[in-house]
Amino acid sequence: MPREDGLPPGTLTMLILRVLAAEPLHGYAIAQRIHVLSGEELSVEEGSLYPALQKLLLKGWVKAAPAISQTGRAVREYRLTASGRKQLELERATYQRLAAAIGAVLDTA
Amino acid sequence: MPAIGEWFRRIWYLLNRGRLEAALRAEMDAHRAMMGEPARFGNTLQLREQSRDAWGWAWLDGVVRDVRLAIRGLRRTPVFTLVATVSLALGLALATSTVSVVNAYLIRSLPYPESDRLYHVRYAPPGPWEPHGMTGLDWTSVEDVVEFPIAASGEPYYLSGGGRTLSLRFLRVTRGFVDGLGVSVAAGRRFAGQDFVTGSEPVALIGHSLWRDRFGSDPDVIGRLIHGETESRPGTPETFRIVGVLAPGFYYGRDSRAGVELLVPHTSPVRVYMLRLREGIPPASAERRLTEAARRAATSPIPDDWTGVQLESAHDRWVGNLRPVLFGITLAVSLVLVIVCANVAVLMLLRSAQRQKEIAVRLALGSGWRHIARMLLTETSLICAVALGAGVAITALVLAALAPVIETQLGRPAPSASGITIDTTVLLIAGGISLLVAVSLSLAPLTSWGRGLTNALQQDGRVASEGRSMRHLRSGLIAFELAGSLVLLVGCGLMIRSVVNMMSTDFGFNADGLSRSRIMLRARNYPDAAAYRRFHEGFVGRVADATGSPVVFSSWPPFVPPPNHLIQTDERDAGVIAGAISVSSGYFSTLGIHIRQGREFTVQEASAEAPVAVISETLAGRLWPGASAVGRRLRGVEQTAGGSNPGPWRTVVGIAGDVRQTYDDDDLGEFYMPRTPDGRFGSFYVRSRRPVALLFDDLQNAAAAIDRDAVINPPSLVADSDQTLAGTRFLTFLLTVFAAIAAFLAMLGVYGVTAYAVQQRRKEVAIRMALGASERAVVGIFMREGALLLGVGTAAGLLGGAATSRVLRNQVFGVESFERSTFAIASAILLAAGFTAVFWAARRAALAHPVSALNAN
Repeated sequence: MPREDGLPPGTLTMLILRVLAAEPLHGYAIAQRIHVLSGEELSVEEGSLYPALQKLLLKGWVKAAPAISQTGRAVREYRLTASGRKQLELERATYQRLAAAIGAVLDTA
Repeated sequence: MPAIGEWFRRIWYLLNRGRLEAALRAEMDAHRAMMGEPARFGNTLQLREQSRDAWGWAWLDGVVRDVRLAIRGLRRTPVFTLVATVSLALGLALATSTVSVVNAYLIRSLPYPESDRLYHVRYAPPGPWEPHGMTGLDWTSVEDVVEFPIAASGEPYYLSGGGRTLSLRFLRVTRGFVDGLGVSVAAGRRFAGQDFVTGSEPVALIGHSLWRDRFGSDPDVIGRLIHGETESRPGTPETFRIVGVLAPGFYYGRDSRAGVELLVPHTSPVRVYMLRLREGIPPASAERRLTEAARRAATSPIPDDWTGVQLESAHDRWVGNLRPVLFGITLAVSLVLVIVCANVAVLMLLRSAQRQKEIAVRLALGSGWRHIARMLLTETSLICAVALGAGVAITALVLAALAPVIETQLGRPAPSASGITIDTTVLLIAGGISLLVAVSLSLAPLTSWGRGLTNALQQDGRVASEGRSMRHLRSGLIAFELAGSLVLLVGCGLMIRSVVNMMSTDFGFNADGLSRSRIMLRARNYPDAAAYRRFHEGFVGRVADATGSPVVFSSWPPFVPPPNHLIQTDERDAGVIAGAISVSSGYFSTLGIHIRQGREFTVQEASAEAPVAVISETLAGRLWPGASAVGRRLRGVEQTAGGSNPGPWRTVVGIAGDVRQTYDDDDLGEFYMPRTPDGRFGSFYVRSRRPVALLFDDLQNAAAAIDRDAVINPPSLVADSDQTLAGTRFLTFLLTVFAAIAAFLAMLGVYGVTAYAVQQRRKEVAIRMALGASERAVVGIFMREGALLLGVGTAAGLLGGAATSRVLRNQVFGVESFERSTFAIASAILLAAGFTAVFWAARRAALAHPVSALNAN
């Protein structure tokens, strides 16, 4: 089922893991970062972001810790764990293989 | 399949919900503030819920919500909730208790390892003689089917030293016994292979209770020697070295209360009466192999009609004859439980009729039927869960108080050492029953709703009129309750009659305060028969002097048919069969047996075994019809396997009243011979008001004053040995309780339904009364409806009762299976109570003021 924000299913997790791989971020910053990095093509809805974050927490791929944002607000910062990094590599490889395969079909057929 | 870590986190989330939710909320608020355009941030509540769903406890939230709703719904109808919960709790308590008993006797196995592979061996059915030579059966030839041949021979062992001589339950056992029954020790060591070798040092294991009572649980008792002699080898002292103490509760035989007190190895081969089969060996094939082996071992000619060796499961042998009683009780309890459920179902129907509007509103607002069903199921499950908890608690209390009584009443302790308890099996079965109850109860209102519901909303302000199917269902349930109650009432009536018949049975003797015991003497103290006799006569005199209680000897206990002799007279050789009993002087007066004519035996006749006899009235009438038997001559011929053995000719000196040995004893011919015991054993009766324990002391003192080595068995009350009456009484008590509960519930149902009908038709009644109908006429309307219900219920109940009386056929005594008066009385009680309930409910309608009734809505 395509999502309202246009992301193929499963990719949001990967994107969150990817932006967290660079540095720990809070929820709003994650959404912003994805939005900016995608050239403002992708925008992550809060309705997707928070359930996805809860899932990542449960899986043990990210950890949350209280922090203060640049604007001086109390926020929760999410940090990638070792198993999260592993998961990111796995998903990235799978995605790239899949994208290459789809691309090959699209180019030659 | 989620990883374990994830599950831990899930549970951690569940436990810290409150904190985490607050954190999530704060986080979202911050997000929203940072976005600076709040309108775009969706519904926070919904978002939070979606996020929470990711934690994986959505279903739990649903359950909690359902339960909260159900509690709210139940609290709105407190009377219904209370009545339903209490009656279900009682019903489930009854069911759980029964399941505990059935579990203890029929499901749980004997307290031996692999006890499902233990079998009793029968070399021949009772009747044709057992083939000789079975002791020499070669068990190694059947090693591939029989894992352990188990053999033991038991007899009393008289332990000497330390005051009075003690009689111990003593068993010589084979190696197979120790391995096959998994004999284990609480202290010391088990028997080893060399203990079974002839010529090795005699060793013994002592029972746990003997260790505790006689040796004060002294661990140093191991290694000590015990001295005594066995009954079969009087005058031959046998000494054993104690090597261990048996695990507590170890027993062998048919009574787990009579534990083994002394266990020693058997060094010579004995006949095997029990065995443990190898795993996976069907008993039928083992029987074939054993039959072949027995044929090879037989040293006597085998009869043509020999059926071969038969195996009977040890567990079956233990509880087999309790099955019908337990089955009957289970059936009765199931009926009571179903009646309880029917009653709660009726209450639910009445309640649901009043909730039609609520349900209709819910449906109109978009709840699906599934939601409604879920709500009902939650409500009934909640009631059932509380009822189950209460029921199990009640059962625990009841069993704590009554388990020993139940064991006594059933005539046998539960085979497992732990007795009747609530274990996992019981809890699982009880849980299953309550689940079944919950599901079937929530079905009741569902089936009745349906079409009528859409009308419910249109009927402004009034309680919605109900569908016909609903009314039928309700009446059907009530009729069923009535029928079930009648079935139980009939059963209880038959049992009560049976007990009355039994209690009023004249046994021909007076069991009041009468006890029975046995003396055992040591052979080396008595050179001849006269010496024995002197002891016994002295004993009688001393007991009489010390306590004023008469003591008389008899060769036969009550409630057991005595051995038959052929009685011949001068006039006829053919003779008649009669039970023969040897008794001492004073027997008839002490037991309260009337002497109809002549006299009883004198002391001289008893000690000289004079050629005289006393015969029962029936025997006298049979031998000399219409003439006096006193002064006539007769003799008894003992019938044994070895041939007939005629006694001396005797002169009849007295005619005694008939004595019944058992309830169904229809052969009242008895033949008494005078005799004072002249051997090592003497069974005697004593009539005394003293408690049995004190009496035991008196008897022991009296015996010890003459012979310190004399052993007296603890006396037991003759009345207590009447197992048949005890069992019947127990069943009667249970059935009476069940019938009372069932009838009460049925009346509650009848009352409830009538009261509901009255309420439904309040307006109609008010109009009728305003128009001049009399109170009687109004009550009459409802009475007619009630009469139909009661009539149908009673008719069905009578049919069920006829079936019950067939089931009870073997449990009743002196009662015809279809006894009209019992059926009539039971129906009359039920109908009278039923009409009272209807009348009571209907009168309330008539008494209400018409105007208030019309204004009520």
